[in-house]
Amino acid sequence: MSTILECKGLSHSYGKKKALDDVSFTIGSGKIVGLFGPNGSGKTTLIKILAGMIHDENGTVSICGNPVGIKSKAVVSYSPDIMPYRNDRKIADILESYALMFEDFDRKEAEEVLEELEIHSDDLVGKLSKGNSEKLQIIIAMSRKAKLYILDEPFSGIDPVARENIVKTILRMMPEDSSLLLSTHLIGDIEQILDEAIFLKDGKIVLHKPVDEMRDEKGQSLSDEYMEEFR
Amino acid sequence: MSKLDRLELAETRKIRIFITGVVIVYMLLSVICAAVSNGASTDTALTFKIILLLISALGTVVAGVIMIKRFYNILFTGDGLVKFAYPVENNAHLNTNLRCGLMWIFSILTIIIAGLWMSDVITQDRVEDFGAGNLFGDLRESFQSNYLSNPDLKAVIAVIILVIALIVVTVNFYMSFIFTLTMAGRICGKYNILQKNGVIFIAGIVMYYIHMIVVAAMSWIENAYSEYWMYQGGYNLFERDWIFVEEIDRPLANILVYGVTAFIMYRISKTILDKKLDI
Repeated sequence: MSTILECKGLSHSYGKKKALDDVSFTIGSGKIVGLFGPNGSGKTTLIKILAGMIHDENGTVSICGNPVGIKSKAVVSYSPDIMPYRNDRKIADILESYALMFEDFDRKEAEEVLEELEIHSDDLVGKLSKGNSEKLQIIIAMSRKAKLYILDEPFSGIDPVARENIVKTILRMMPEDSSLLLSTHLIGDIEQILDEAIFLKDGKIVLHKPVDEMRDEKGQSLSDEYMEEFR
Repeated sequence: MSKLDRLELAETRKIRIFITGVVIVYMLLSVICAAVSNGASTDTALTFKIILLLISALGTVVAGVIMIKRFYNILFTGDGLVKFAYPVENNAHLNTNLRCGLMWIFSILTIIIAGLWMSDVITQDRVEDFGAGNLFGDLRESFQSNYLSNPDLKAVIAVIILVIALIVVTVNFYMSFIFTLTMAGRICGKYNILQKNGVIFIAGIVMYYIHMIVVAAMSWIENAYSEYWMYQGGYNLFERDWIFVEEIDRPLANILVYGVTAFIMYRISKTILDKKLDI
């Protein structure tokens, strides 16, 4: 199993406040990893560093052997925790811009999956419901044949039934040898698909283990483990 | 042309066509009016020239505002979360904005200069002109009446220097807005400030005062320089060519000062985007 992502001694501060403090971990290929922690624990800062949105960090990041830059961005598909598309943009225009900028973007697949979810290319982003906007974001991110998918809070506006379908869609669209780093508060909904879990607290990793190992050790679910750690 | 340039042009296609179209329509109206008047009554032709100037000025400002707003979107809205994920250097977004923004602004300025020039040619200078179309002729006439050697060549050189000065000053002003946004973005990112528009406002005021100080300093230096030459006998040194030197010295000073400061602002903005980005 090759390493897709390796972080060593990663730190970042906002003024005097440390958002990340000496974070080190690796993610192997084909793994689905959950990133958990309370608000302000540093999840989004970590994800932004990996996606190349923050450059002012200490420590090293290696994605498929490359530091964060053009080469890493070509193999990382990132979906942020807010809606990044302007309301006045047509979905077709967004797909066109992705097709132009990312060689691994499969526009046909994106259109097909969006049609399955009754989101049409001619629609304006502003006309979509909150749930559909988030589905759009996830589908666009997953329509790339990337090595590492990073989804930040992807399910917050999606109802439980649709969430189940979206999780299935993510698994269907994801290439086998790719990895997925997923940050969410809805642990119960994704627990079954996770290989590993990372718990972040005050910018530090307090736990990084395979989910099966966690269950075997204490005989409790990931949600229970989370509650125990952060209560 | 890079992929990012093509994307930028595609995303601003409609608004660019609309604004440039409006300016072209007014240019044609101005030229047609100058041709129809044919020296009989110059009032309407003059009015259309003034309208063309106003419309072009407005078009230039709107084009600048749209492109600066697009850079703002990259640094301060969700747009950046998409665009900084593209597999390009971060500074490519700065370069693309500068290229597309300035290309658009200069296209509109070219249309207005072409319109004024065509009006002047058609009316054979019977309509009072604003100097843009007839700049070369005026300079040549001035150099000829003062018995300068090679008046044509000197007029061409003077016009080229004036046009370059205009371009450099325009680039500097555009770059000032981009630099202000980049600095504000850096401050907001470093200290996690959520009141981003407040930081932009303060950075804008600071940049405005810096510009005022530069303008005042330039004016003071130019006056001191003129006096120096007057006492040192610049006229005796250059003899008749003193008139030519007087035409080009201030534009050259502007090219130097505004060119160097624009380059410094560009380098700082590029470094922030490449090494200190935090959105």
